[in-house]
Amino acid sequence: MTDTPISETEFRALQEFVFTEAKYADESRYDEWEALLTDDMQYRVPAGDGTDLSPFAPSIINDNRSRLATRLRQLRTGTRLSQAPPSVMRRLIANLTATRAGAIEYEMQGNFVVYEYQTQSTNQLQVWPGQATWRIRVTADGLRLCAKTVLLVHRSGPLPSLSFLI
Amino acid sequence: MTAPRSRVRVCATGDLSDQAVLRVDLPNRPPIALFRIADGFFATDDTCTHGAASLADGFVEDGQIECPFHSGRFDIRTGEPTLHPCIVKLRTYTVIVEGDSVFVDIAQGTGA
Amino acid sequence: MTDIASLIQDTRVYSSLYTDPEIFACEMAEIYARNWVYVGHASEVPERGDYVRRTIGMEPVIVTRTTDGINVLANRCTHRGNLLCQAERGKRRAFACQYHGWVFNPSGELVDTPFPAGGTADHSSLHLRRATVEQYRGFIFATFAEHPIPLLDHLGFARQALDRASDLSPAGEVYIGRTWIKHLFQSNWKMLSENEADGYHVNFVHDSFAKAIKRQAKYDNVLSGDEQQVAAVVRSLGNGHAELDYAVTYDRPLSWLGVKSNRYPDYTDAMTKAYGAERAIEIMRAGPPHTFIFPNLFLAETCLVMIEPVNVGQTVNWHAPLLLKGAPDSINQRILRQGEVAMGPSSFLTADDSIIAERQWRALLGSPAWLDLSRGLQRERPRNDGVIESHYTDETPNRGFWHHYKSVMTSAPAMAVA
Repeated sequence: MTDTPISETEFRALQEFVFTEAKYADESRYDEWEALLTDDMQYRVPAGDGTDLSPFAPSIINDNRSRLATRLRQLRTGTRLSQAPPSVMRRLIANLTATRAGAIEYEMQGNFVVYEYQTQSTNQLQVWPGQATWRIRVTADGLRLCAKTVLLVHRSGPLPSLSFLI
Repeated sequence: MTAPRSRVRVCATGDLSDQAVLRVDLPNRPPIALFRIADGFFATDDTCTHGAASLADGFVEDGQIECPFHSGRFDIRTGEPTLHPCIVKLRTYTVIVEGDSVFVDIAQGTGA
Repeated sequence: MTDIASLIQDTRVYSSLYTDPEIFACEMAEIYARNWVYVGHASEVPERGDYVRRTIGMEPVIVTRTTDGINVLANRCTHRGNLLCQAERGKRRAFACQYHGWVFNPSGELVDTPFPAGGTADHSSLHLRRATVEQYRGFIFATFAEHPIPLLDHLGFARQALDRASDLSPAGEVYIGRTWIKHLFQSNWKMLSENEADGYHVNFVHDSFAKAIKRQAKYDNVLSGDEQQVAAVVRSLGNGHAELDYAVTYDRPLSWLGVKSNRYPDYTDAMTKAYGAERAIEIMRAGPPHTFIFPNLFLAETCLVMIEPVNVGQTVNWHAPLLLKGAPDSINQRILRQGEVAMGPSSFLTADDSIIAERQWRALLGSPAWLDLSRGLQRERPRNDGVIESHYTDETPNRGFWHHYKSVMTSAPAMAVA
């Protein structure tokens, strides 16, 4: 089953999903972004250089679905200072590849860069490049995101506040 | 035939694990490095021919010892330099294992 | 050069202390170069040859374990100033400069120079600058002062905070892993340090957090909004150290971790064996410290934070979880997860504190002023031992910080730099 190549139709659907997710994140559309998630969604932004395999290695973000729900509730209050006002963002996604990951899931991987205009304090443009992996599941309601892992290029160095959806 | 008094017992066979190196300090002469690799026990001068490093502080890999100062290498069995910046051969010494004792013949050195 | 003493009064300080680059340079020379600075934990360099790179103020240093203990060496070749060690961590028996191959041993002595026939300098004067090092409970402090006071004199009551953190381990030791999260903010190092020992802001800066979570334990107390109800306290510990203490809000063991008291029976057993039932229960009830140790260490309950000044308007806070040696994996996992809530660029708490610090800095840069730190003066409670305690929202910690800062910055150099 996993040997069947991804068809053009499948790839376009997956790509459209990833671009939609990116648009909601760019525009801080929390409700619509959250509606794309499965109930078991895992959202991870690892830290460090990748050589630390300890189960106790800290992450920049390591959210199970419950913690992610709290994160989104906090953002929706409008008083989360690090996103009040929200950053103005646009991200570019490229080098996308797709593979099957089980009977009803796909894994998409690509490079991205988010251009973030920080409106909350410094009023500066921040650049966030990296590699993202999206795990996407076919559900009765359409494609849904069950995992997103983001490897920032500079994840082993000092990072400014990252309260938006990366 | 080796004169008995040039043979020095340096350790027990169990004192040195595989891929390990031991520095042997002896009176009135520079230290010796004793190695244990897959092929057995070998001994060379401990002081690198390139600088003042103690090779016993270095890394053993693939039958070579890497000097901790500038990462040059020598073949443990022959003392030959195998990687820049080491260019002068290390003196080597005959090692005799009897029972569970390791002896080094400090009179019978070759090279440098 | 500004007269620093004139900028610090009993209940107010002048904003240039945060924004003037000359004052920053003076802080690096007076506070960081001459006093005890936290550089690492023994668990980060467990074996001979292990090293990590750190800074003492602006000065890069190597913290390395030798057969004689921990050495802290200036990370700069004495020949032409090259950075000796670029890697953040590793294992080396010698430090060879990649410029001209000069080699230093882990005690900082110059032991080899290539092509020696042409060398004229006396090697004994070319050793690496070496700090005096002392440890307490594995927390390593270093100073370049020539005649430093004993570390325990500097720590004073802050020593109890290091005990409080370490005693949560059945083995009496915390340990720090390899990975650090580094949070960069465009503000002065003192701004976030003051925030860390400030209870007054919690209801406001962390309003979004209060609204998003199910309030329990200490948050239930300090976010209640009722001044009489809030039971947590602040303390100025002397020597610039300060803390928030939530112990009084915890009514049972492990509530600080957000779990039921019987959640980790193996941990409870191990603690009982180590400390006896009564003491173990009290340790597990009181929880970890929330203590700022002057000038650059913050024990943030389940995390350790190192404050790295970069320039007058830029700072990096490093943090890692304070894992407990001898404790089951399950509780260390929980400690890790708890730390993620509070600290780091994406955290529920500090991400917002740093924005405030950035706004403060920007406003003060353009609009310098006297800043009021009088809150709580009329009700704070000095103890006989010199510690001053007050209501959670009072500015007692700030006054303590600035009092010590002033004495360090204006004292005659009794401790010349080595």
